[in-house]
Amino acid sequence: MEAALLEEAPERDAERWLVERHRHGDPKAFDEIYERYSEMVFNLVLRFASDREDAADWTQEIFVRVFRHLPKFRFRSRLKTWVYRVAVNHCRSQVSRRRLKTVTLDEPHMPDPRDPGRGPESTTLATETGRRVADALSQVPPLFREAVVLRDIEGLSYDEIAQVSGIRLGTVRSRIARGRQHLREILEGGGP
Amino acid sequence: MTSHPSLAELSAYLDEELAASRLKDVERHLAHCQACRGELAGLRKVVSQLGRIERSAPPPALGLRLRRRLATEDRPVSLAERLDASFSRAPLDSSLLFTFALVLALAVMVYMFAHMFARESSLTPVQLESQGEGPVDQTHSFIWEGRSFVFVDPEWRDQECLGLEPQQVIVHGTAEWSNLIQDHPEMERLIEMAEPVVIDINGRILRLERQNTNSEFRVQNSE
Repeated sequence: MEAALLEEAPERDAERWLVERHRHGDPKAFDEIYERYSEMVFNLVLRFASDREDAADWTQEIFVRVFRHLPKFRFRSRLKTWVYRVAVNHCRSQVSRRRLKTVTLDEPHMPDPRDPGRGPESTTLATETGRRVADALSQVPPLFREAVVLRDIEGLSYDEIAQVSGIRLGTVRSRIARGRQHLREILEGGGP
Repeated sequence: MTSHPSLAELSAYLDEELAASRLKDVERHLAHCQACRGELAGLRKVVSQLGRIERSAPPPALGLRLRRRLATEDRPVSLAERLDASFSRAPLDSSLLFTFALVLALAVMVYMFAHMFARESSLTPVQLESQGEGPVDQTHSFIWEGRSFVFVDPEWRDQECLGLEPQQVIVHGTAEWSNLIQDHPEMERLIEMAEPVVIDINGRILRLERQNTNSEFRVQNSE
């Protein structure tokens, strides 16, 4: 644990420096924050948005929120963790709105096969397997999907996921397991 | 043979996130149970398949779009910039400095006087105060830490949350409240001033309230 903290120290210092520069009005600081985290946010958002265009819009909104709230950031967590948290909250809010508007609770969100621009990954996945897995992942219930994406795609530790998602460690464990199980059932052909 | 580990335990074992107290039991069980080894292999395969999803770069135009959007937001302004701006507007001379000092002294006196008066009148039922920007309208809106709140019956809403449904209700004094306070100690002050409150915290729309809240009573008293 201590070794991990020591390893992270330069990263934490760099984050602190960026936030302080932003607080003091250095416009380049936020550009650097965007450069650092935009890919991470965009890839997370892609697993919840219905297409790349949507994902780009959500990513923009997330960074607007980060920009607004950053001066009040108190370093109780890593900046990266906090940005993830803002992103996850935005995804949850958008998913629940979309569900209220168009999708019933029992109906998984399916990409439209006629539209080449639709589907979480249709234009960017290099392999057929990757595309198939991404499509299957989009059918996993959002809460379980969130945990699986943070763990298996973004590579966060269970502790970090607990902080990002605002849940207990035991819940992280069970959501990851159930998410993987759902995905396995979908990929093996039977659906969940 | 020990009892079968749960799915969550097998999944955590795969991630090397299983509690040390269970590790040996699970390993011992796996050595003898083919069914659990099968489950573990299935989970491992899923994780490996997830690794086949390729990462994607955000559209190049997004950075530019964001910059344009942020140009309409208030950027934090440095002290140096503020001073630059004031110097470039009007060169300072000694009489201007004197006037400035005089105005500042008067402002401090007025503030102290107002503060004393406010303390004396603190017996009035509800005091909606703001931090830093002064009360705006004690009955229907106020500004607190740069956020505008308006009263939308039966609650105070952060203006940014108008039209949005709260995602979670957090009651003062509960475990959720303690978690919130760890990251946002300023919320204690907010809920003292006005509650229930709907506020956007890091992108989550939360409703903060006390148990047995009686907003009607508060509003009637604040008018």
